[in-house]
Amino acid sequence: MSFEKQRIELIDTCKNLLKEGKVNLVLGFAEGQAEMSASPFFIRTPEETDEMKWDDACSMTLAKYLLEKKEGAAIIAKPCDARAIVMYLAENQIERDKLTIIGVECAGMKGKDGLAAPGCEDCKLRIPPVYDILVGYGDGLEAEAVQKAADTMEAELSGKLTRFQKEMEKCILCFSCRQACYGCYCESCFIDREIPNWLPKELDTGAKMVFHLGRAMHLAGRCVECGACERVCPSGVNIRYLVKDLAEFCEALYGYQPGVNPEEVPAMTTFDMNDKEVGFIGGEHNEACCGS
Amino acid sequence: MKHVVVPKDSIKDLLESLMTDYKIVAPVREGQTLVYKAVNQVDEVILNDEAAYKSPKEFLFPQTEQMMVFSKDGDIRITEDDTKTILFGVRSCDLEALKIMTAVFTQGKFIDTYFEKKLKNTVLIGFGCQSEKKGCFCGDRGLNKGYSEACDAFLTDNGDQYIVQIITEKGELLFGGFAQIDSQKAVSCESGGQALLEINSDESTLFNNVDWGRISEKCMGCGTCTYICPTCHCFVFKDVVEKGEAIRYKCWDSCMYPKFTMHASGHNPRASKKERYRQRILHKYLYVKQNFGYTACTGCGRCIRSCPVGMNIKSVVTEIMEGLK
Repeated sequence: MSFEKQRIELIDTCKNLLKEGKVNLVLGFAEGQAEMSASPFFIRTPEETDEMKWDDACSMTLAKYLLEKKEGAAIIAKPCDARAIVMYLAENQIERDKLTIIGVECAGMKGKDGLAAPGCEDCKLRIPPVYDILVGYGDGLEAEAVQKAADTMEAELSGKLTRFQKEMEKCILCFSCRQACYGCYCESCFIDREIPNWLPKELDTGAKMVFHLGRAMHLAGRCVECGACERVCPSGVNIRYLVKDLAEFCEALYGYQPGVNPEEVPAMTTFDMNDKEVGFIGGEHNEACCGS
Repeated sequence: MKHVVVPKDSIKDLLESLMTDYKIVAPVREGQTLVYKAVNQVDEVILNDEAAYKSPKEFLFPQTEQMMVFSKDGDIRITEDDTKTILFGVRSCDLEALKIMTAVFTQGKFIDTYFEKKLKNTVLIGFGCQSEKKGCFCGDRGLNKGYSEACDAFLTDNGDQYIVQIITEKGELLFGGFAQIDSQKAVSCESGGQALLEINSDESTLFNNVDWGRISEKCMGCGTCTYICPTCHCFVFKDVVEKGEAIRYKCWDSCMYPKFTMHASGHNPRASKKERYRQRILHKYLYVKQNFGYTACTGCGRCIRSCPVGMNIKSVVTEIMEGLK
């Protein structure tokens, strides 16, 4: 198997689903224009499936469109997309029986520079955690040992701050990371609110820090590590390392990994008197999570 | 028109000497990207054939601009900014865009005095493109990538020297001292030709006979296009109470955001991305043309290059016109 064989099988699968009327729409990929090597593709007829693209440039995340297309849609889901679907199911945003998931065994996506796409560098998942139909890549696909791109935080507090501020200087506060993020689907984002007003109107590094820290906190235990925030950022801001640390923190504290089991209650939507409270002022101190 | 020759080695010395009187804004490298920034050291300036990922509009129309301060005793202080700026290395597409923005902010009944003043204090130095970048379509929009008159002086790369066309007195002040050459031998200064990419139709036809829902289906509404676009100029006023005073800011806004047209009643006339995307296209290709005589898209290609889902304004406009034939 290869991408090409997988593509042919995907076309076949989607064609049949549309022909048999089991779905009215397939969310897939098409050849991109200009800089883009792939682009989302809304497939509605069996004939259109022939134009479908599937290769290592299809790094875009499609599951967010499911929040608009609630009924009768099928989606080509990489493991990261499937993790987002699990999150949406766990958070009651979509209904499982109205959706067809065509899972793809994922060989990892590449960016414009030919290196692993943001989100793919660290990912060991090859099979989506949830699917109706699985289209395999075939023999010979092994999780390659890849270099860690999104490294974790420096130990020293001063180092953390300097690094964070340096990243923030690049940000232009266009909010494209928020729009692309699977976890950011609030109808009214905290940063858009007037009462209370969270965003200082003088757009200095401080204002950018407010937005990114606020967003990161909202993603604690929810980020499915798809890398979309970084992929869409026009100014190349690295923000994932921050969320990644929070994810590890959340897993160590509550043993919860987002996007794995739709039946499991998300860590931040439940409360237990026995929960560890290291995140709170005056709470116990946990060296496993916070370092020394 | 006067042409002078500036050896490449002299450009940095020239900028260095101007730094005492002017804030110099030029393309510099930030990480892997190229951006227009206020320069601290002239060595940072990068004059090659790359395109900056966002336009330099923020130096005339800042992302947030303090306008005035109200104090409790009823005193109003207008915020003054007299900084003299040189916008250096600006491409034809961005110069054309500033021309459009100048029309919007300084023509007609309402004058934006903040923009007007900044423009007066700014020297625009153009710089020709040698190649078209991916996504660029300034030719289809009737521009010449290698030359524009919408500036004070225009630089053209010519081996180990720049040929500079001096267009205004401000340009003469900067480059007047260099050796003049025969205009006949200088580079071509044609301002481009007929724009091929236009929407020639009326609003009602465009509203009713174009399938905006399908066209905008992929759009995530992230607004990146409006932030990096050289002609997008929508803004909003915000009054912020800080330290016992109220400060009024003029901030960028984006028609791609759901709250852009939200009414106090809760009604939103542009409730979905379909209406919002239609507004973006028609503002550029219809409304500004109706009001000021320009099509507000210069083919810089930035929105095409930066769109995370591959929306392409050129194909969209082409498709609309094909569909209406």
